[in-house]
Amino acid sequence: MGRKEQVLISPMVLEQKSGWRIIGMSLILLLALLPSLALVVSVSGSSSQAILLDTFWQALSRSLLLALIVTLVSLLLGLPTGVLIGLYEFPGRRIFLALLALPLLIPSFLWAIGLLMFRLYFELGSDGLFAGLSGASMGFISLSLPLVIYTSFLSVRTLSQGQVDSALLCGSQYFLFKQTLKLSLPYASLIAVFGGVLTLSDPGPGQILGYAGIATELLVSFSALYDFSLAARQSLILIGVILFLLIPVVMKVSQSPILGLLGRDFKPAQAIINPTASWSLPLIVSLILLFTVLIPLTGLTQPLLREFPFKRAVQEVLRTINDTLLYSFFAGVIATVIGLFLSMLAGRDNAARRLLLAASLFLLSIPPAVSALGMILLGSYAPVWMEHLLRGRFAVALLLGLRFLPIATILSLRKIGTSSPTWAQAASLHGLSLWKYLKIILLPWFFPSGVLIGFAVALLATADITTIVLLRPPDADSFPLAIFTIMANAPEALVAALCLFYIGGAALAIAAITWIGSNYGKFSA
Amino acid sequence: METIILANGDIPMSRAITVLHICISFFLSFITESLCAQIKEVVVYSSVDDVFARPIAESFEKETGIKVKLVPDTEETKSTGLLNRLIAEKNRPQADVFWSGDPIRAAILNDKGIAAPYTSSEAKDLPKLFSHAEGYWTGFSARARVILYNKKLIPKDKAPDSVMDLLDPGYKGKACIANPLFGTTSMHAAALFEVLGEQKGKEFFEGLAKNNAKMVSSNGEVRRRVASGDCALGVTDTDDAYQAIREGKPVEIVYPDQEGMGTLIVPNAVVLIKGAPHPEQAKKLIDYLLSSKVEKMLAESEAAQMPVRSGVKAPAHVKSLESLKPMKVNYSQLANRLEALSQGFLREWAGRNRS
Repeated sequence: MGRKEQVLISPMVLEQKSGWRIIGMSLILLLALLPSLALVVSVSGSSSQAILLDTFWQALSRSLLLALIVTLVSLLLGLPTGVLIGLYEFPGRRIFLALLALPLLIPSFLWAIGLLMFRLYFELGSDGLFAGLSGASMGFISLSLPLVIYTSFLSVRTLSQGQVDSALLCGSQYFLFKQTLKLSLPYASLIAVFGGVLTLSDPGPGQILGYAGIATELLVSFSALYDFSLAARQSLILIGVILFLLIPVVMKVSQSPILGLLGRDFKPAQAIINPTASWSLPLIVSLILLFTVLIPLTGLTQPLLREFPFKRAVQEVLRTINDTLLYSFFAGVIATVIGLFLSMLAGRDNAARRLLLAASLFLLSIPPAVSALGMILLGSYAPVWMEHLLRGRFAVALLLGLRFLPIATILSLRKIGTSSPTWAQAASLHGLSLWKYLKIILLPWFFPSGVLIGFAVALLATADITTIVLLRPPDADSFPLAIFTIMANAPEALVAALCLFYIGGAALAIAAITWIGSNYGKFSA
Repeated sequence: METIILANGDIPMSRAITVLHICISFFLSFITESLCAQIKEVVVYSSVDDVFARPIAESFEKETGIKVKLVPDTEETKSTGLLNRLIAEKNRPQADVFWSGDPIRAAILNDKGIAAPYTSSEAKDLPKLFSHAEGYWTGFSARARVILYNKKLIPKDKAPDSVMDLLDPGYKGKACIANPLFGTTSMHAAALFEVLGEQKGKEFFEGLAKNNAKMVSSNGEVRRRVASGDCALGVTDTDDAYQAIREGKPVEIVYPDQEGMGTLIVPNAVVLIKGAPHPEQAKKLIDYLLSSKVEKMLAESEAAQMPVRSGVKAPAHVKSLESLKPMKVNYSQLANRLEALSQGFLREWAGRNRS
């Protein structure tokens, strides 16, 4: 035993600077990039059409405008809202927080159709709020706003009671609010930027609500011209532009000292009771829910006023429920595990953290169709014994996990940043090996957050359509995909019933997590 | 088990290990599921809407005992779709059969070397016009491209009777059409160019743009917009149009150009995939799809598809091919024409006219 202990690695390795961190991170990121690389390599040199530069840049500028609006609106609304929800107690706070997760679970195209149907049902005209740029923005903001609110809320939850009391002693509640905004700004900005980037590769809302951008250009290359090479070149330009514009922002944000000085392990501060907050916050959150949930939901489900095809909808749920859960669960697990590993590799090394943030942004900006088609190519050319890994349910879950790995990474990075370096020092002094330190200290400490991160990824993965439509094995549809594939010609009432079931299921899942959180009390930030 | 409970009450490691066990179990379920895949099965990629394709697949399963694994697609939001998947899987396909909602996608597969020839015995009484001469794809039950108009906005006596009516200044900003780079609208565009000629085809599309016709995301959206009155009229497929009627929307269908160039007929097309993992079952399924029984089922379904072989009894509301003047096009050549248009004029036109 003693001999074995001598060769074991010290937990201090996690706190020391070393080149192996960057090498390890690069290897993992390269693996995550492998499917996309497969597509790019396979089509390089193949003959292809020229990019129509005028159309391309025009589409790109439209998309960048949309992404900018989504980023700014999500940040401007989400940051103060998240901070206020974190600081103040108000009636129904937990329920509101839970309801905000609903849009995350709904595929963007479905929300866009909900907005379109709302507009058509109430005869709001084709030039109003629910059409064009404003409509597409609303469709995407429904997704990114809750993410920013949650990020800001979780930042507030890293404040200790002592910090809150000190801030209140130094000034007023307004002072506390301002300081907390500053604290939350870096990560909320990053998440808002990520939300904006996600809009660039999703053609659904733009196509449906009449604001076509760069994603539509990619779609034309893939689905009208079947020209993978053209699509790959367009994707590379898109990724290049995104990185050119955003890497400086990411670098700037990642230099914020606040990221390294977030509170350590403690009990979160108690929410403040304030009479104004008690009535105004429910109002603010209700307004957000009205735009992000209620309006699209009304549009989607209004055909149920005529009939409710319950039995047919249940059949569809039963047909797809297992695969939906499998894909989501494993995507969440895969993204969380890899994200945690990457975060531990980055540790407190600023250069490594910056590299990881930049790489996350890069991964997120890859259009999902590129990696999905790359995965198909890998499956098609790999040896037969790899069939079970590269084709089938596991491949779907793996790629979904990798798609949302950036989200898991950034959240894990934040959590790992709040751990105390003294833990590793103390463990090392007591002769604990790295494995034991991970097993009995770091991983159990991370576990509750890991569950939440996994849950967030699972929600996003459930709503992803492109990856699943391209990769799913025969007879293994997810429920959102089933809605997607039947909605073209199924009766509107059936589609509406399926949407209602889906949203009901999402609400149940969220309620379950909320219940676990409130009963076990450990699923806080 | 040795555990340390931290001051903040964190949970023990056992829970994490339990989760790990669950993960491993699920992972094994992935593997075993793949390993235990049934031999007696056929994998069908289908661009025909799930609600229409699935009942046919189930009927085949009942009749033959061969399990049909259906991978459906839709044009609703323009996914990057099954055709791309088939192209990417070319080296080692998973699909046995591609059941396409139109012959263009089938012809593209053939051009890319993904189709294998198969002449079914059931195809002998199907019109040759709708099939590839060497059996790389075979056409059966058809839809048509129709004009759907809103009865509240257009009185019956002023109903349009030609796709050229979309250029009528009276409908300025009131007509809609799906993106002509995708789906059956792309086939319709290619057909119009073939029938009208290059110059007039371009003039038609430029006329649409000049008349502020709305280019929307799909035929389903054309249906929704016309039904709601957001558009007065639009061009769509018969299955979309019939759905609006079934749902009691104030719309009417017109089979256009019965006095002129005719209505475009859009047959389904079935393709045997080259290197299919289950070729024998695939051929049985193709035989089944091409049978008069399936044509009857599709006619009676909500798709209301027209049987293309004569003598198949269809419900009264389903027009018979004999009662229509079809647009005269060479279905085998439409894919090539569309390819040229998609790379040239249509791509540029769609780029210019996006919302």
